[in-house]
Amino acid sequence: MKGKNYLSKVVMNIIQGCLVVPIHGELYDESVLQIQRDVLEKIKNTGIKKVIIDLSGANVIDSFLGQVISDTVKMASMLGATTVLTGFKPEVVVSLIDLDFDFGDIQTAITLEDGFHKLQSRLTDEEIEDADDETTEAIEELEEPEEEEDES
Amino acid sequence: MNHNLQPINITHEVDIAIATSEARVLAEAVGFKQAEQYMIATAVSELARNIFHYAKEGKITIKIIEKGTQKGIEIIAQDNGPGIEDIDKAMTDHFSTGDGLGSGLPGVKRLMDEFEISSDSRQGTKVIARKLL
Ligand SMILES: Nc1ncnc2c1ncn2[C@@H]1O[C@H](COP(=O)(O)OP(=O)(O)O)[C@@H](O)[C@H]1O
Ligand SMILES: [Mg+2]
Repeated sequence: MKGKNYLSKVVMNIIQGCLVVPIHGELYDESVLQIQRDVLEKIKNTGIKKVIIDLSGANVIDSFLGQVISDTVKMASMLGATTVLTGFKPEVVVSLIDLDFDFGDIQTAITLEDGFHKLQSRLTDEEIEDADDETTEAIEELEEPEEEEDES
Repeated sequence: MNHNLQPINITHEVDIAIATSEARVLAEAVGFKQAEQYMIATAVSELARNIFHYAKEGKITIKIIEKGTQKGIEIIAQDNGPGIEDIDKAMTDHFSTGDGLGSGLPGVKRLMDEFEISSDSRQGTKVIARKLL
């Protein structure tokens, strides 16, 4: 690795049966990949079934971070854990769409509380669809004013 | 207060985060809404990351611009790296010579209003992207 070593370990906590992983401001390739390894290891070792990755502290979610996070969600699911990404403000979603980022069936929530709620209330397929609708609505709300600007 | 920033050298990975944060501060100072500040910051993150990954080092300059009565932000990302062999391909979604998603450059074009790219193996790569209020 070049430069100074900025690796810092993320502090993961198990709260109400969920593994909560907070992602903070300044992230470097190596530390993001380290977080991925730590999360997967924790799932394997504890058999935990619910994971929250909280992105509210992330500087921006660019295509690199987005990719690592979505890979982590997929791998966690192969290990039997359901993940909700929290801290997804609408502007984050809009930028990720411009980056052609494929959410697939990744579940997102705006606040940590919502994230807990989604995981705790044992999601049914219908509820998952509702959650997707909410995100779509949030995106549409944000995109509408832009269309108006285009016309002027 | 002078909001124009000195070029930010991208030599260490931490510089990506520095450039990204500075872009956001400047975008806010110009008067961009939160979603647009975030788009500008994301574009800078993509361009700075490309410099770091593919050219090893380079610089990002972020400026306030005025076009007539319209204010905006200009990002210049410049490096003396190996250059891009096929710009058309690089501008296509999902094309990556690394193991990236390949939507950094086309993404920057969508996130911003104006986009110019030039590249060759002797002079490296230069991207200019602008967003207007
Ligand atoms: N500054 C640069 N110098 C050299 N090559 C670059 C540079 N920026 C981008 N590229 C090339 O263009 C391709 C596409 O870039 P991008 O759209 O950001 O996708 P990704 O970074 O995920 O590969 C890269 O894989 C790389 O080959
Ligand atoms: Mg890239």
